[in-house]
Amino acid sequence: MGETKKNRIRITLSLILMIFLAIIVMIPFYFMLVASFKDTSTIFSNGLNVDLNFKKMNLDSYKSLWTNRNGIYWQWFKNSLIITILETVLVLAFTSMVGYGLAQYDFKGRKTIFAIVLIMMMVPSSILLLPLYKLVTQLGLMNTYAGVILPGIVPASAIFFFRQFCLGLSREFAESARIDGCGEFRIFWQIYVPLMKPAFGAMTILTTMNSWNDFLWPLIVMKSDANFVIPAGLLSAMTPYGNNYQLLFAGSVMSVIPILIVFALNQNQFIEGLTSGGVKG
Amino acid sequence: MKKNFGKKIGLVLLTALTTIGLAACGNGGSSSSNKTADGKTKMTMWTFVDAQGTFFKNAAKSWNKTHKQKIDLTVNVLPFDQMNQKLTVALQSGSGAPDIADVELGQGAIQLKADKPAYYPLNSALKPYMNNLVKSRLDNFKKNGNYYGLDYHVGTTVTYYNTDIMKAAGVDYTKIKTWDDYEKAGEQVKAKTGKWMNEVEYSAMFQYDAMVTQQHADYIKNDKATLTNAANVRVLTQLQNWIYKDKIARTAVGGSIDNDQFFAEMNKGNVASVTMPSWYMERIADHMPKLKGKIAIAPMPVFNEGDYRSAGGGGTGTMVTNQASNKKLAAKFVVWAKASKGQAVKIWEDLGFDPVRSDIWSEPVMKEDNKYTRYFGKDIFDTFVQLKSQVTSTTKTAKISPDLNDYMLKNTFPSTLLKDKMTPKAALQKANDALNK
Amino acid sequence: MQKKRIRWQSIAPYLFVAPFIISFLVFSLYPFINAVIMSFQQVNGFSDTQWVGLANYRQLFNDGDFYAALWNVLRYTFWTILILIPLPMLVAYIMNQKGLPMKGFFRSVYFVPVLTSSVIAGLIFKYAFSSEKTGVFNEWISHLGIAPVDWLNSSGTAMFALIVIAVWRWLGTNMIYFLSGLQGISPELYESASMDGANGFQKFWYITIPLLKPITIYVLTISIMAGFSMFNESYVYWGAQSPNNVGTTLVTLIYKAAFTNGNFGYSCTLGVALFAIVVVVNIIQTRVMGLFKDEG
Repeated sequence: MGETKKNRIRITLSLILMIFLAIIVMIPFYFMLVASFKDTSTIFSNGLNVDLNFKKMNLDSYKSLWTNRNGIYWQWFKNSLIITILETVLVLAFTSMVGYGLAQYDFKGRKTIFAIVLIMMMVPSSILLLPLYKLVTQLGLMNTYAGVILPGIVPASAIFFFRQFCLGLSREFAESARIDGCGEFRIFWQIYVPLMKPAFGAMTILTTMNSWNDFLWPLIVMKSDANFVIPAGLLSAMTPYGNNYQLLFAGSVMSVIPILIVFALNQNQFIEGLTSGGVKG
Repeated sequence: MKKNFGKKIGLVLLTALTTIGLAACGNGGSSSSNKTADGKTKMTMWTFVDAQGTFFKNAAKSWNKTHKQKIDLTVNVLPFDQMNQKLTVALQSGSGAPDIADVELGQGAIQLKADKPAYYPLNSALKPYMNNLVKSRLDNFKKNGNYYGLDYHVGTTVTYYNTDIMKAAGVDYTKIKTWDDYEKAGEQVKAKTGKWMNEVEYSAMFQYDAMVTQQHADYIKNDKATLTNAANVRVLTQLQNWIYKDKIARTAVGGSIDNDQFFAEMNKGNVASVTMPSWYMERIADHMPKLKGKIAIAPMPVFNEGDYRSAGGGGTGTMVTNQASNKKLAAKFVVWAKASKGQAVKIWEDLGFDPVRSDIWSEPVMKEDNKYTRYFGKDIFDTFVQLKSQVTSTTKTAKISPDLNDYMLKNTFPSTLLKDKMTPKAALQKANDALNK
Repeated sequence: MQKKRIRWQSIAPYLFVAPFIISFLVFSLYPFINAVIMSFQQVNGFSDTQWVGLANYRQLFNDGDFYAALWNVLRYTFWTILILIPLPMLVAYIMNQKGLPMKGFFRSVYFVPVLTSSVIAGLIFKYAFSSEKTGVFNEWISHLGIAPVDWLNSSGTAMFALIVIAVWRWLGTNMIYFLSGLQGISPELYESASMDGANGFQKFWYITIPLLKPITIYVLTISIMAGFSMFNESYVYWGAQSPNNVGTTLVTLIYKAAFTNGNFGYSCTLGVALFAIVVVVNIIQTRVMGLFKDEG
């Protein structure tokens, strides 16, 4: 009896702590949401004015998403969407292949390649900002989706993740499939890819997130404002040279929605994927 | 089931690859021809201000009505920092630059740093208009005898007073002639209303610059910093005293008086005055609706008899890059768009600027009804005309200019204005030493 | 027939890893070599270069901004690691208790911040950290009787403002990593420890922490990298130029040298320096933690 009571107290205390943390985490979203229903001039008049005053709240900021500069926000939204989808699909395809190859075969050079993957994981890509810019210029990919996407389609961290995941998969499936006369690529495609579903779930979330929120590189590659992605576009609204402040908060709110949807759809696989060995060093 | 999953992924992948391939080709930006089908010369322009982009689009339309060589102008509005960065890189790397670009003065110093700037001189295009243009504004974009940019405006610097606060404090702003008067008025304002007389910038230097210029002084000579001269020390001391000794001012919210947070601050009626160039009218009219009819425009106070009561502040030159497809035509168009009489009037009407072509300032058209005359009253240009001959400028295109701006904003102002850590003299000495190293 | 199969089997792995090799050669190695070359050059346009020997490196060693940025980045990384490893681990441990309701809900809530762009998060925090007394944070501390603080303009508070974003964004992610690690720990270990009379803290200290080491190393590695390459938050707060360098980071300098000042050679020098620093830090970390030593 004493044990259960102690247990209940412990659970209650933990729950209070969890709720407290959840509130703290949500506060900035609350700010964002409240601010998005206010007039720009009232938002900034007090640092960041987030008092709830329903009389003064309206949908003007949301309307401005359509009216401001002919609805350029939705252009940014479309760009973000295209870049994110393309990049996510390609990243998943390539890194799952590489990760699988590194985990399921013994071949000469495997260690070296994996060592390179590890090194690449530790080195920030920003050191290559300028030479990459030069390369993309030389390839004629400035101001194109391809220029934004290509340099990042085989990220080391995702390879690492898939490799760790595949290490946990038995090689026997492949062995028996080979005996049945199945080709190497078909083995990967038809046997292992389905087994890797949880890993795909986790990586979908992480890749989508990185890509959707990427800022510096798309900013450098894209030359015209119509080609910007959302973060770059919203930041560009923050100048004294035009009346664009309205876009900031409503635009921020809208930009969170797609990524929330992806998260909601993949959530269960996400945890499962991570748990089944993805990040075990 | 298993098969299906693989197939689905395969399909998506294929689609993705195709799309990316198409995107790569489609957006490649091939500049196969620089003429449109109907013989217009294609030009692109980069600017960081929506309104200026629209201004030039309209200018191209008017140009085409009266000129034989027609122009098809595409305008790209980019955020300030990004536009300049892209421009720098495009010109450095030799490809990807537009034909025409709006370059803000501070950035112009960077753009014109090289011995042979990557821009096309406007000299011959300017020639017919030369007599009617304010010369100090041309000098801001001059390098080795060549004019590389033509400004939109003169940027006549004036002091804007909040007349409500002035009334409440019992101050007659028209009697403020010197900075001493200004300081006394400030004390009265602070005592009677509790409002700030001024908010001092530390991440921009419009007011500092104007106060140095009005003393017929400069901070650069022969490509060396001369920050230790009396004029500079006097200005920085004055600004620091307002904040820490007289306590009539504080540092500007958000670092400058040209940002959203400060606009809100001023709109609330917390600041009695600011000293800014003419283009600040646009900020006031757009971002401070509550002050309509309550802002008075007056000449700047002075330090000593004989000082100028104004200065040229800020500025944006339109420049023609050396990557332009038809440089000569672009130059002609740019100059015409700003310096021809009809266009100069449009600069006032559409953009709210005091045009560089100043012979029109005294014409009745400047008093006609528009957003600005409605906000500030019809007599705006009466004040500007008085000050026309007093608009000068500090050196803006020396090699050292970008470093000097950078250093002042990063070190000197933060340690004297933001914090009271150094005396103005010591801070300026330190800056001078670092820059002339 | 049999022979062909074996040949395929030995070629296949190379085909599988080919995307990485190609991408590595084209988008990493080639640009890196290029960066090293340019770091010894004065670059006036990509076609007009001039060898300057060690001039850029000499400039680097005399560049006060570089040291300021390095110091900022070190402090930032130090604090993020100090907070973002123990705290999420503890939260994960609490959340992993049997009988705690709504686990899935909390997990999602904690994870949402990292889904938000750092630019957008930065915008919100920028205004919340306003120097005005009515700014969100200043209003909070006013209840504790503290005078308004000019958060983003003094060295200590500026760092605080950066770390707050980091903690807010990454707490949930790191927690999920640790949670996934915890779920791999057999409950029997805890049970037998309980039977031996261990209390909650002892179990956490002697079982949980050691068994989470692989995850900890992973989190540490990505934290170090994130710390050294921090840029977005700083850029949103201050742009490329902060007063007295309170928010300058190494990537800020790389970006500024290349894209604001058009000084390509020096930008590459900074990049090479950042690379060298990260390599050194990682070597130290590997030695200390015995990272990946059991890898094949």
